[in-house]
Amino acid sequence: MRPLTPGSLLLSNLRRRRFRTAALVLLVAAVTGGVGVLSLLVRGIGRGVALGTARFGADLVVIPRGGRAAIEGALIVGQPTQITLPGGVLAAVRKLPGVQIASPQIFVQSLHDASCCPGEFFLIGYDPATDLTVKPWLEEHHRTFGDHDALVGDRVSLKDGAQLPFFGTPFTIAGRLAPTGVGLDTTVFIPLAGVRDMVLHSPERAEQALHIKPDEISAVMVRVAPGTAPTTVAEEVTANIDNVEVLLAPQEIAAAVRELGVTLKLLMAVAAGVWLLLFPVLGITFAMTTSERRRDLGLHRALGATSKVIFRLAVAEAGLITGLGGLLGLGSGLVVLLLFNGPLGRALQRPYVPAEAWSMVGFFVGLELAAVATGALAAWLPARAAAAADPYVCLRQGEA
Amino acid sequence: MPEPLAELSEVEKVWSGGAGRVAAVAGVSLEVLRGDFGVITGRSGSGKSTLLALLGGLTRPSAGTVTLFGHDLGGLSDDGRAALRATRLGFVFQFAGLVPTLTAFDNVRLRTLFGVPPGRDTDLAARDLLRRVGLGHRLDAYADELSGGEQRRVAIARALLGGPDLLLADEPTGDLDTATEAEIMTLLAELHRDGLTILMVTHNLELRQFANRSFEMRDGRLQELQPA
Repeated sequence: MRPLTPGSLLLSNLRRRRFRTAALVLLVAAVTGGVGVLSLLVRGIGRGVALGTARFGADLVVIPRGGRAAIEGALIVGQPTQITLPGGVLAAVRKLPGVQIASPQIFVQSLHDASCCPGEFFLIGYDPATDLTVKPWLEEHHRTFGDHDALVGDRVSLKDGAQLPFFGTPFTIAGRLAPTGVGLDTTVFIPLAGVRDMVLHSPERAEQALHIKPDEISAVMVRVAPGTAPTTVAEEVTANIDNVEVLLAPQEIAAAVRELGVTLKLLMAVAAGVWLLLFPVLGITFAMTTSERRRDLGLHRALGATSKVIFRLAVAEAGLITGLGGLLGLGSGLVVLLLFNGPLGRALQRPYVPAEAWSMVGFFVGLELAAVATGALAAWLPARAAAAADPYVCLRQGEA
Repeated sequence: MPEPLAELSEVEKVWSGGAGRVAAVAGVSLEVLRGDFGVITGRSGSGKSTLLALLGGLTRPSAGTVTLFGHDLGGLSDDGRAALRATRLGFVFQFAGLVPTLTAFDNVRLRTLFGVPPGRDTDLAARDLLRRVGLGHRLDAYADELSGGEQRRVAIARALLGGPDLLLADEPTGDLDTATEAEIMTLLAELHRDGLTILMVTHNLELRQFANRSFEMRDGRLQELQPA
């Protein structure tokens, strides 16, 4: 025979006021789910910025004048772009004081479901000797690459080890970068020597010939010497080299996400504010419920319930409502985040590296506990008043 | 001489409110002995329900002492008074006070949440009590599916779970039709014959016929009526 437990009584109390219970559960679900999802999106963007800037390696990027929008698109979201620096810029940058490393990159072309290979990615040529993005990866993995080895970003759908003809020249996918949330994730890096080979043979091997001069580059990635401010070097560049402009790389990435980050943080603040508003809303609702049920409470006392039991029942009922709301909201949020992390990240159009699944679950478990605590705290005062009330007065007031 | 189960000694209860201070119970002394079936009659507002509440420890007296099963309620903690109500006292009110979303059986077992030990024996006792009040066929009916009389009988079964020594009944037949009232009173009389001590308040003077002791409450004062 099924035992009667305090839980049975609580659930039966909730069933007695289905509409109110459902409304409260949905309210709490919306607030907790909103706070949970927005928090993780903001954290994901924060991680994206941190990882992207850390992996990016360069302190500043020298680009042709007017190329800012194009390169921001390339750096932040991996949008294809083709820009060309005037000849001699690389050598001129290297001569400037405060420049520790200056490494050229050539933005070859973006490929979109090309005949050679599926998916969309952006081909960039790099200088293995000086590069700031790929070289640290090679050193970290104790690897050396040949001229026809390619290193791909995390979201590039080409298989590791595959040999693929870019513009007719075969390259091997020799490594994969960790996710960064920025444009690096959709980039295929190939050495400059490989690019030259590819350009040289493209007229006879590829459907479309590449027209890139041997000394042509798109950007110069610069790392400044220790103790030198990137802004000082940036001023040197613009003062001494014509027709170029400088992007302060990490700041650019951060600036690009700032707007969205502010919006998301604002939304999160609103959600957190609504969560705070839950206290009075729930407190008033639970006070009303307790008041309506004074006769029940008086009757429970007459049946032998102590004031402590009455208090615990009232608090537990509130905690149950907010707990159910939290489960619904956070569960839905978690499902959305786990199933649609990729599309969400792309839809944001900003660096986004989601937290690991276990971290999300842990965070949501914490929020669920907070939801339960919110209900319990909101009901604290009404529950105390109910517990302290004279049982006979409760019985008589309930008759009124 | 039967053992006294409950005793009021010069008890007063004053309510303070919008109408000022009202003495609902004014200097009442009463001894309820084991085996009594006492009926207290009186007009509405005469203080009879308050008297019952004082006896059951549901409210504290403004003056005087209340002794229940040998314990001075004024010296007991909230937990102590609750323990007495849970294990030795049964209450029935004019309203049945059932939880509508629980079955009749679970409504009787509700006391297991508040002090009556749960378990198989208690479950069997709950079934037996529902049979005893004529609701053996309605165990699984939800409270809101029961008629007013059936609900009142479930409330009586609930009050009897755990084998209380004293049943305090506050207008247990109020707002019931005559036939149902007769059913309930017959049931209470049977329970009394089986050894249960009952103290009941009612405005219906005819119900004195079931009592072996009758009282009248008027303006907060209690007077025992001599048998006719």
